[in-house]
Amino acid sequence: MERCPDQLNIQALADGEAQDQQLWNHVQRCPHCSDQYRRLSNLVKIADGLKSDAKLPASFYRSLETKINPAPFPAALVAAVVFALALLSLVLLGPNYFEWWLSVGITNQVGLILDAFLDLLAYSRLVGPAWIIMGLAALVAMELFILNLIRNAEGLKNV
Amino acid sequence: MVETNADKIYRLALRYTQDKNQAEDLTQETFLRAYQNLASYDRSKPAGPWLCTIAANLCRNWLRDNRELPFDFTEENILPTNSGPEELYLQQESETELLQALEKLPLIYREVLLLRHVGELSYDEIAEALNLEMSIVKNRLYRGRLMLKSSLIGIREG
Repeated sequence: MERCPDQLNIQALADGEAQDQQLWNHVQRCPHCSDQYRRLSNLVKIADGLKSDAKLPASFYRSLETKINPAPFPAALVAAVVFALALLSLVLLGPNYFEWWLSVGITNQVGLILDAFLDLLAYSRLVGPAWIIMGLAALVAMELFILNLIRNAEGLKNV
Repeated sequence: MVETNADKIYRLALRYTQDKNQAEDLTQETFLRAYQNLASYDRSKPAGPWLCTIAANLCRNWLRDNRELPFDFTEENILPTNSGPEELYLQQESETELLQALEKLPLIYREVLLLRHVGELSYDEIAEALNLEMSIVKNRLYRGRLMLKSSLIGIREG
């Protein structure tokens, strides 16, 4: 006599997970297994009641988009930080520094630095705020270094 | 990936937490985690099971932190399986009662039921998502369904 499959195999049939034709043939022929199959299918139908047609609100997608692609770092804030650093450098380098700086005018080197600054602002959408601040701080430091070199070369006194 | 799977993940989280706001937050967290771990995603496979795995882990952690664990079912609490036409009757139960019944199940059974019936995962995918042997998945699914029915009858009878 053919041996009946265990309940878990019949459950796999009811779940559409088993592709065993022999098993299916047996279940169809055997009254006991056929009854088990019907019972397990009914259990599956009860649990199918857990399905839901709930939908996410439209605001979810906007909110997720914002979190995945955060808004670019505000350029105004970057400019304010640079201005603050430049102001600080004025104070640190002495009372005559500002007049000297104006007298020097915008040299080639300073022009390059300003170009780099504008480029950085343009590309700021692609990088994080911390990198922007670090980049700007490096640029300001370079600017101070170059201006200091020029100042020394011109032999400016009392600065 | 988001448009195709977001509602399904939300439904899964909703069934786990039974709270719309939490479910929405967990869905969002699921996609953020997925985005951060895109490198670990095998693109030859469908994204749904991978996302369900992330969601299930997040929901499990949320339950651990926010809910008391439901009572344990004992062997005696599980009704005999040859109840006949009552299953057909139980299928008519309201969603509220079904959710109440689900809430009473231990988490290990609840999650296989949810991954199967809400996440629509296969046995294989559930085993992978929960890091279980296939035989354990089948067993938990079987026992979970019996417990769900038993719990439903308990609620029905007050």
